[in-house]
Amino acid sequence: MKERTHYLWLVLAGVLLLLNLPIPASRQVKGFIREAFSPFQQVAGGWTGHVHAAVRALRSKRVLNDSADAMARELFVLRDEVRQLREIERENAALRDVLGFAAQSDKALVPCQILSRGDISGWWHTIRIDRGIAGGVTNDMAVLSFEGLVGRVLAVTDSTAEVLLVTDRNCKVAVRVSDTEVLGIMRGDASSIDGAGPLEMFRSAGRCRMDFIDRGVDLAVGDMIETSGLGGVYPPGAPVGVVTAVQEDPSGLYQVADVRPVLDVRGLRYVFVVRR
Amino acid sequence: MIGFLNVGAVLIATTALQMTVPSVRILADAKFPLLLAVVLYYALTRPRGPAMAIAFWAGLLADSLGPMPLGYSAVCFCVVALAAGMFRGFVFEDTWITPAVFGLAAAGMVATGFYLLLINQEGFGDVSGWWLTTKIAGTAVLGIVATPVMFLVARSMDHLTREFTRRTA
Repeated sequence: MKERTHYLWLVLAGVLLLLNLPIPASRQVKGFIREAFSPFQQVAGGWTGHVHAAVRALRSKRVLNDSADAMARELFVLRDEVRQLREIERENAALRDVLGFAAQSDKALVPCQILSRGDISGWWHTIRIDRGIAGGVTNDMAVLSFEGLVGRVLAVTDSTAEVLLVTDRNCKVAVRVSDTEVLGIMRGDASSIDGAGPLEMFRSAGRCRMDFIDRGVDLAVGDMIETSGLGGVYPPGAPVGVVTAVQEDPSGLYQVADVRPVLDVRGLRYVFVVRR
Repeated sequence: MIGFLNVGAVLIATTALQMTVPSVRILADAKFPLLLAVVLYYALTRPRGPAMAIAFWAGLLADSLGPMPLGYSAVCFCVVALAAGMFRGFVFEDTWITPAVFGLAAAGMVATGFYLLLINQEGFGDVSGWWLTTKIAGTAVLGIVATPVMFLVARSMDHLTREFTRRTA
């Protein structure tokens, strides 16, 4: 009986200690455990990759053929864009030389594989990637995929990093309507602006909301939203989502819009961290 | 020692599994409470002290591998382990109904506990009532499914350990 009470006091002291740890110490404890756990996670992530590959292989041949055709078309368009951009880059460099400007951008992309999708508790929208401090990844770096913005690095260890997705309620991104200067702030997992009921909420979980849009701007359903680059965390021009509904805020000071994010984490295997 | 290794292996494997299994989108991204089910199993089959220690380590693992502040899961898991230990006498062996009922109650309790602990954090103060209800009820429902399965796995591991100890003794 005495030993049991002993145990209980020890556990209580441990819990109190954890709750009252200063933030740097708490980060160190978390970092140590994450680093120790990463081999197990890599094994689990490898199995998940095999399952995804098997599921893909089980898909019908027609779907795969259609997908291959679509990718071939996209590849052709992208190659053409790259050719044009290289031409513009050469022209830009020549003009900078003439004007005596230094090159402004030294961003590099770090390719990363996703180890796990979703936070262990289910209260945050996160993914874990296989690059950390050793790979040049640090906190608050932007993360992109082929489709557009994925999120930002939330926590980092030597060999892994945790990424907060744009669909998370704690992720706020400075955005603009594509090809315009209409600005706003987008946040994830927000409730709908159009008064949709709970059933709508179940259907479209992962929706985002764009706030603080100028009242005088004519925003339409289907408009593309991209990062504005304001704030310095996210590079400008990365696609974020599509407007699905627009309404004036109850305060009457600005407009708000529902945004369907381009990010679909279920099909995602690789992402790119934007190294500053 | 073998028992200690057994518990460690079960905790690590369950944590890796919980990180891999995706959340259920239509249930407000509720997750299968696999780790909680393991905590519950040990709370019902081990003396109170070791059960509390297991709950503490499970909570520490869960908090360390996500954005949850350190100690939140440990508090919730320890409270559940303590509460479950009080109802140890009501557990019927070889039936899935008892773990299912315990899983339902414990998962609901832990989801509510997480919300109460997170309510003052940025982003959680203004969640809609529907979302929160779905999250808590969804986690509880997933607890009904996850707990009997994890009880079966943990019981099999205990059985294996006993067999191993008996043969090597």
